[in-house]
Amino acid sequence: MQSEHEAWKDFVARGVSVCIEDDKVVAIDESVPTADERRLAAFEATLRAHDPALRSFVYRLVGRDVDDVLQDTYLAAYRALSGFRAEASMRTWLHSIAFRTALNHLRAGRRWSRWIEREVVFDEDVAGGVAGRVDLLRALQRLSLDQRAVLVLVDGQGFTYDEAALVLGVAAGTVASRLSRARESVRADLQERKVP
Amino acid sequence: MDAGDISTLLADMPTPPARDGFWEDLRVQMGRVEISEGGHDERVVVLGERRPDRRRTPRVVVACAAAVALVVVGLVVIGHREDAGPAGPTPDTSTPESSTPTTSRATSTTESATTPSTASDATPRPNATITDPLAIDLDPWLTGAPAWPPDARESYLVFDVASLPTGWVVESEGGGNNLPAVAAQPPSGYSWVAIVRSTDGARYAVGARLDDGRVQPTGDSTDVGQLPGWWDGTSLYWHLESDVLASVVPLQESTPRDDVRALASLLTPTSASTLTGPDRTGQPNPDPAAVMLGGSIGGATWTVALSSTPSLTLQAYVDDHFAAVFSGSTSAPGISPYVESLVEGVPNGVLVLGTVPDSVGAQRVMLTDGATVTLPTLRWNDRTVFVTPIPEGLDVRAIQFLAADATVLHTMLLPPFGPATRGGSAGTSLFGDPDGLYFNGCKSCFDRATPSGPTPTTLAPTDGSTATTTMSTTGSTTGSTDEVPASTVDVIGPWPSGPTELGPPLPYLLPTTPIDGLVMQRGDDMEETPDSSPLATRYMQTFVSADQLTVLTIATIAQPIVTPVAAPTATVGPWAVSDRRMVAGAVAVDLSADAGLVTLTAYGDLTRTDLLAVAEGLRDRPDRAGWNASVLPHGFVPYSDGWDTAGPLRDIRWVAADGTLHGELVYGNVIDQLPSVLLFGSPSIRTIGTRTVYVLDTDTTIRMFWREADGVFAQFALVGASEDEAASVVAGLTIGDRAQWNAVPARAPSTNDGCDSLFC
Repeated sequence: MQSEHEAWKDFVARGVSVCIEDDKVVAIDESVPTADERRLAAFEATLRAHDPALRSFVYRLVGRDVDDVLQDTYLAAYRALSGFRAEASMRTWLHSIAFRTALNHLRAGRRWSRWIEREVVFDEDVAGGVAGRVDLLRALQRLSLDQRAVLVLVDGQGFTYDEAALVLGVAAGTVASRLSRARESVRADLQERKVP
Repeated sequence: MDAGDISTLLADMPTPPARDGFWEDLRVQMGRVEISEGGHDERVVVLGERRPDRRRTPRVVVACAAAVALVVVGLVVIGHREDAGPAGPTPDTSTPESSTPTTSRATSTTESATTPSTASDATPRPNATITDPLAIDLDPWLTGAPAWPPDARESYLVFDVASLPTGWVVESEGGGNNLPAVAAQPPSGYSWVAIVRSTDGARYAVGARLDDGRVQPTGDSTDVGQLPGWWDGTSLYWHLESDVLASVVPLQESTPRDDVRALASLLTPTSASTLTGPDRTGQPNPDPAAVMLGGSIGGATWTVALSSTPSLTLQAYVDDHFAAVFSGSTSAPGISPYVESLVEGVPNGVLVLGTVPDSVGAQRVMLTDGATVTLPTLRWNDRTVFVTPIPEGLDVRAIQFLAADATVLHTMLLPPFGPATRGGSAGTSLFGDPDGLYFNGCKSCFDRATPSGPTPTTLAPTDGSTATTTMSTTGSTTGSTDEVPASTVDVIGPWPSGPTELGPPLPYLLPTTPIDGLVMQRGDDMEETPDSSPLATRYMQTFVSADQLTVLTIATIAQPIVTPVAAPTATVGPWAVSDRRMVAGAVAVDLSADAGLVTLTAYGDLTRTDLLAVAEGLRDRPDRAGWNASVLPHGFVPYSDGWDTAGPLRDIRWVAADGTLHGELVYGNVIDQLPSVLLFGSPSIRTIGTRTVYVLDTDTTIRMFWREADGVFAQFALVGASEDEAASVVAGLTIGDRAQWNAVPARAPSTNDGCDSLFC
């Protein structure tokens, strides 16, 4: 079986025929009439495969605006797909676009008298009333965006420092320092709220 | 709690599901259709369909549409001349002493080198003003000029007519680079021709030129040596190379084809490193007393004689040989101001000469490194005329026309002129013409490469609009990206990534002037969070005019663009230009490339044309984000230059006893609040202590904005107060320390989910 890397090179080169879904190369139904439609189907299938992780990541960055940001992310990825050189993994590439899209989104909503963190609104209903979750959301809310991103990537989604650095466009050392501060901040916040 | 615990919590945290219709909506958007403002279906960018390289995309239709639009409003091409001399002047071999400007005049003043720091990294050439109309000389600015034009040919394929057999006579030989396609023919490229005469007296024009496609191989086929050729009547054509067309044209129609082909077989191609340029043997000036303008061009003397019968005429001479003639309209420009001019290749360079509205007091030549040279215009017989002598190799990018108070009335971009430029073109350039980058709405002036690639389909513009979109007819259905080269502009690759560390700490600005009845409260101090990393998605450069009331911003987002820009309406260099809808008092264009977006915005007295001039002059800055703005409006200087970070900010508020907000000071990187000061009223500039402050007085509020330090800007608003009261607060701001800052009572956290600031 092709690696994800190789599969995507193939995808880019051939325009359509394969995509990745659940880490497997999936053949697209060639009965779909046009190349454009097959391409769309292939790309949507790939997005759906990555959507849970991306949705989780973006939600923790922008809160309730997650759908808007994700749609912009996916459109941007679709638009930029021909430039995807398969030098990074699809997961890293999509997360990178999602991060920058989230930045843009927050920039667009920026209000000058307030800090950007305050503009991120989480629906605490998502936490299902579980105290620890609510407190975690609030703790995340208090982090800077970059800290929040690095925490979610590394601690939440298992990215390596190098992968997170690619996503965030910073050095791995910066990832480490941000992560350390983010963990410290969340830990202090949660302990203050007596979360075990 | 350790990292593992946090991981567990994060992993355990649910994420809301996609909203209903999320994927369906996305599919529709990706699938392609988006309704444009004009109601036309507009295909969004899809996989495999990349924007074509604008420089290589035929834009003829666009240019024609613009030209037609201008003709409709009465701006008509007044003609094109290539080789013809002036009609009528009587030969006179005397040399007019008065036509040669003396060099002893105190004719120019070199100004301090005020070239903005964002211009070329090379030592900038000085700005200067030349006032004597008989001593206009741009030759000194050749020193330090870059190789110009940057894409000049290194050799030209011609024929070695000197090697023709004994008995053949070469009557003349010459060639040059055609004037770039500023309006009409000839297109860019070179041409060379020799007139030769055989032993029996038959004369032929032997030519070689860059094939412009105007001669189609539709006649009888033949061959020239091993090369296929064809006949057009008795003229013989063949390709020396794929893009070089050779010809032998008999000057007598009765010449047999066999003789023509025999000559062709005798010709030996050769490579010439230079061409001779325009004819230098024109008639001398018959009326030296009529010379009103003059100077030097590439070491030669140029003069222009003025006459007004029957219409305004400017006859130009180089080394006292006729070089060009401009025949203007019979009346002064009407209500719509425009430049009416001729651009003509002459020995040693190019002359731009013509008339301008009476409101023009001077012209200013703009060079690629930002240096400017202001030249005089001349008031003569109720008309205002100008001549711009551009020596060969001088990197002139634009001519600006200035009012008496140095306000820029119009910017006319110029294409790079090749060495030995031949030919000329006349036309009009409407002031502020949004379509007229140059003469006659010519948008193809900057499409310097030979058009190639897929055939464009032109979409009809919306009613009443001149917007035109070209869309590739190939590529979108094949999934291939090979057929249409991507834009060469890469605003990611050469740009360093955004800052990961905060800049110098913000100063602690502390008010010392009390405001009666109001209590001062400080906001959060985010520096308590050491790693409050800045957002750095956008790089912002701001320039201000000498009076600071006109502002130009260059905002660059160095990443793939999420929000589609409007359909391009123009092309400048490698950029696709889209227009932004702006409020009154502002104009903006988006320059898009595959990898990013640059938005140029002007607030105040700049036009879209000015923005396009700036766009044309944008150059990479090695190892540094931002652009070298090599073409800037006169007098503009940098005001800010840096990543548009989101923080840190600090704020202080003044509230009444009932909690009502009356005053607010916010400072940090708030440079993009400057436009709101400029747009919502008529600001003035006031010096308050060491601060130069924009002051905006609305009915209820005094608002002030200033640059506190590099990268630190401040704005202050005070409700229900006078300007002097507000100024006294700003005057009383001092730099304190953190302890003093903390001593100011802290404001309670806001419970307002909207914006409760005076600056919303």
